[in-house]
Amino acid sequence: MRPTGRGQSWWWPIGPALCVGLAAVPAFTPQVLATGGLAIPAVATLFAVFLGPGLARSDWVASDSSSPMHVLARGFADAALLGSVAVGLASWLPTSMASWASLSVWLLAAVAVGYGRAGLLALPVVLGLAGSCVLLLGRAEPWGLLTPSVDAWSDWLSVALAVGALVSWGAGQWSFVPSPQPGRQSVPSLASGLALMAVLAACVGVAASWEHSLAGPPGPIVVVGMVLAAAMGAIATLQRASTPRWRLGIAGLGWLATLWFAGPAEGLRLAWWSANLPVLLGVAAGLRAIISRELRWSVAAVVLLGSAALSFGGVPTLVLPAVASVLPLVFAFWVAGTRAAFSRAL
Amino acid sequence: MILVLLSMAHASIELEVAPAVGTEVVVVVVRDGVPGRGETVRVMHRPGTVHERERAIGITDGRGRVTWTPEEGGVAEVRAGTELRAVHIAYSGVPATPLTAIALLLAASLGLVFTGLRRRRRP
Repeated sequence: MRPTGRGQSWWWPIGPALCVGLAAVPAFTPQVLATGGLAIPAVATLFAVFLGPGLARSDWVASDSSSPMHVLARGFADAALLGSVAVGLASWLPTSMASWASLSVWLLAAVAVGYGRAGLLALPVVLGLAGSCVLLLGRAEPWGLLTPSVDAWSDWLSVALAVGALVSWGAGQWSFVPSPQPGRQSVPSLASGLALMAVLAACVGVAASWEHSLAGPPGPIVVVGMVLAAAMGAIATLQRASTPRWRLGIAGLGWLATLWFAGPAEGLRLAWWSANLPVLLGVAAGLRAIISRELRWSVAAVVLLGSAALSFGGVPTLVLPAVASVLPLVFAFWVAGTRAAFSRAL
Repeated sequence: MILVLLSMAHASIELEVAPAVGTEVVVVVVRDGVPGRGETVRVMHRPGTVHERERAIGITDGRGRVTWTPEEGGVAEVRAGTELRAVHIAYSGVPATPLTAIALLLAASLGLVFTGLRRRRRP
């Protein structure tokens, strides 16, 4: 038997953590996917494998703190999550039904959270995304949008890092976790793995639907899957509210944000994923790094990864000079990443 | 010759067969019921994306025809003047790069799942 604590099963935090990860799934619109193909989820996976579990574990113990710095970091994370859900819903809901459909999503999410353990709804959503992916693969070949490309890396790198942060780091930082319990150290890996599977299934489904519709609007299966993923993000957002009244307030705010991104701020959707969200996550991570010494390896790995990304364009074309120039950076990232991933902050 | 009309009833760009990578296909341009002579026909691969790429197919002959051998698969738009029609170019096989990427990503996510399911001792 898995060790359990305080009457709760070891797998209970998976649901809320997975909900945070699913909030990143709607980012993969055809326009975003076209910039880098599967290179985007690949970098997100790199982030999630090396950095996510370490960040999540080290943050597991700090979820109850009420110090001003923790509250500030949590506020930035709240804003990042709520904005991602709003942009996700606005991106995938048809304009004609955006107002009432998004209101329904936020209200239903609030009701579901009220019943408790709503986060476990994320598991059937992941299965649904995987099933719809298989179904759409039977209709069209998805290769056009999926071919990895690094030509326009500056367009998608920040998106990939933000997605990687949401699918993994959220397992610790942005989950509704009452208190640290033994036996939960592996939960972030499980939640990250399932979220990455959802991301991969969504990418394949979007690409297949895009080919099937001849670059036209996405099919209903994809739209429903993306809206459900965003709805799980709404549940994760509302689970963070401390009281039912505050929860309804956040739902109202989320609805208004959705309407804003569906209408006046339609042109800012792409900028949200590539600029606003990474900045908010970066600020939240920076504050956490200041608070928690356990994050130092993760921060070092992030800095090294950023350096690698920024210096990518200057790498020599000849093989040996290229290897010689990037080898120290790769080795340093490997050391910092593995130390972060296997750190035992608890 | 069997003329397969892949376009809508009033479209003026027709393809004799469904396009596929490496297979020659005849594009027929018709304007007001008569062949469009001297029309420059182009193809735009991955339209509407940052990787969209336009290539010239050729100029139609007296019968409004030009031959085209697609070099890459996926969604494309065949254009002649202001007319355009979207087509799907069948791939010659499953491309290795995206398939490998899918396999690696699936392996990584499954690895994380199994790591999460692995039993560990209480610290």
